[in-house]
Amino acid sequence: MSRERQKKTVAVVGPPNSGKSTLFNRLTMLRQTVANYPGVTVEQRVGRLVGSKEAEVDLIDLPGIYNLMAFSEDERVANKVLTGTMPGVAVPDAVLLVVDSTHLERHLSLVPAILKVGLPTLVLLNMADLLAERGGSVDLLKLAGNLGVPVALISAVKGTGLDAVSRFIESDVNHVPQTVLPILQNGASCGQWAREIGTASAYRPPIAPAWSRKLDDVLLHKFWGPIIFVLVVLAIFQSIFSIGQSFSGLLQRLLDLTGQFAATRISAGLFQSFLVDGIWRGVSAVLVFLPQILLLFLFVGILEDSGYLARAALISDRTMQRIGLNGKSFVPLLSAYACAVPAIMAMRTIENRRDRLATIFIAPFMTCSARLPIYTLMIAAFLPDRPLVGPFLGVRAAAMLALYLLGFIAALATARLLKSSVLKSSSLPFALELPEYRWPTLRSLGVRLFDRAKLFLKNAGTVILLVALVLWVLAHLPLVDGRVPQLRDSAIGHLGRWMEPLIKPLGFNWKVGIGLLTSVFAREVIVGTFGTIYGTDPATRSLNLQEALRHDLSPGAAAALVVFFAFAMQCTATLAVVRRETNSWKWPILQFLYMGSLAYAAAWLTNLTVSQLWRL
Amino acid sequence: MKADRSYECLLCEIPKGSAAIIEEIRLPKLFGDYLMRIGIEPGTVIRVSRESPLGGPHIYRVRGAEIAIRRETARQILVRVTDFSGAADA
Repeated sequence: MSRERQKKTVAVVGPPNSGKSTLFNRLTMLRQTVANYPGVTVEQRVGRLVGSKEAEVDLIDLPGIYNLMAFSEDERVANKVLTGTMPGVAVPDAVLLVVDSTHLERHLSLVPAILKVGLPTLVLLNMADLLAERGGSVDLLKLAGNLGVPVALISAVKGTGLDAVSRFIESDVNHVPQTVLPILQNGASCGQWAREIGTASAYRPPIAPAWSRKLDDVLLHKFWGPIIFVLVVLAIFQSIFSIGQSFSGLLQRLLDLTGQFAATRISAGLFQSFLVDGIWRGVSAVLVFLPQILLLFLFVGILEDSGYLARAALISDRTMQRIGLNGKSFVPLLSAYACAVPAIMAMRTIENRRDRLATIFIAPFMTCSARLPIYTLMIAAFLPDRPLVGPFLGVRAAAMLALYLLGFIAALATARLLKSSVLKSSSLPFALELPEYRWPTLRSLGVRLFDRAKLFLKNAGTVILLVALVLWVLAHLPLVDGRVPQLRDSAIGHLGRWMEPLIKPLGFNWKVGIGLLTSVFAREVIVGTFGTIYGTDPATRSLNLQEALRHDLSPGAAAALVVFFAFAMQCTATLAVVRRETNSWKWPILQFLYMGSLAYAAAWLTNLTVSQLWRL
Repeated sequence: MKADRSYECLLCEIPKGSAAIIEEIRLPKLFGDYLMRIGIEPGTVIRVSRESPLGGPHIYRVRGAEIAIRRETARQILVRVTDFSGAADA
């Protein structure tokens, strides 16, 4: 007998909420790769089957679909993969069709379309545990007979019944489906057929759990529902802000210390600088995002798996409609207030492609935590610490609030603009299925976190590292008398001086110019850059940073600077993530140009206005 | 013959607690198909499950699933309200 391992490809397909992904994760553990299908924003998820002895089996997790009528991008992709017409993807040798056994009759209507493809298919009735628990049952033999394909009852969550899957995959029997299928074009007859099959297979639907509906009585309560929702959102936001920030801060500290330690082991010079200030700084810049990403995805994972996310989308729907989006954009968009990077990654839950693009596009306007250092610095340097509205609001806090508001308004206006022009979508009937509540499992959360972290590190990480290195090169060359030049004499210093006339109308000088260049990488970098520039300038060397800024910039310029930061796209990580999520360079470039132009215009206007007002 | 107390109305007008049978979906075919795949098709029994807070989409119960539908869409769905059945939903 030949010991050569066969290579097989198995597609995993099923409706949304069928527990398909739980099954996929369980079958592949952490051996998954995620990519994009060519030309679309649908994620391609492939994993290696764990524990298969005979063959090397690749599982393709297709997006959750109700049918193959190619109505949405997800369905088109699934259709292509199943029929073997998706470039770069092997023709599947078999199909695992996962349906929710507690909603059997509804989910069975997907079966005809899948069987029509003509591949060996195993129908998996998932959530066997819930079915039994709630008093439902089905005659598997009769069902298999009626469908003409093997059927198994499993629970992906509990891990029961899965040997049927391995048996099916490893068998060499090419059992092609043999059923008389209803006409597929007519959705109604599929539904009818599904009901008849269900009855013929002695399907007894489970009794829906009362606790789930009772929970909705509270969570969707006219009064308490929105309040709880706001609290949940605030809690998430606050945690990411505080816990996420502290972990990031700690991580940054640790990484810096490591860098310093490494510096002592290598003789000072260009090479040491390259390793520590270049590579290590770049790597740290990437790693520092992880706490926030993991935290956000933990929350989104809990919300999604438990079923609450659908309720949140409902509650915020009306409000989101006013800017042309729908409720599904709300939670991800709000989390952009902490950091746009994980927020944009979380926007895959928005199914409508144009809505998703619009939401991704406006996400960076939300005042992220990286803007805070420069906001705080400028506000403290230029505004007095005086009360404005009695003890409730000081001048400085008011300014901060105003900046937050600015970003928010820009986001809304841009969404409105996009959705009424370029990204206008024919309003699909908004129909959202509210799944029953369930307890999220640690396993699925863990896999999801690992998955997202890996994705981020691989994609955004490489871009961020690259830009960090480029910046290092620009800041440390050309050598002056064989030694590292001062920042002002480096390539980036020359660039800053060269662009001074361009930014003069905004009240900026070449020092600010250098700051703008370095902060293209990440917003908070400008504070460090200012520290370096003013610290090494003989004129300002003896002053602290705030005094130096006051000495060097006019009030108009200071205001213009924060306004610039409110609108400009200065985050390589965000650009990298947008590029990945939209699978093209078009959108991040457009975003960069749009936000940059807006920032320039607004800063110019601000400088003009504030300068005039100051003279009065 | 039993007296037929059923009447036709739009989905958005069903009184809470009563069951109705979907008669017609007055949307372009593409949208109608979209609704069909989640179970909203002529011949299906549908009832109002609850309202959403803040004027959001109403939630209906269709074949054991809870589905939220916006008002504009509900206006395009014609149903026949049958008697208050109280029976377990289909």
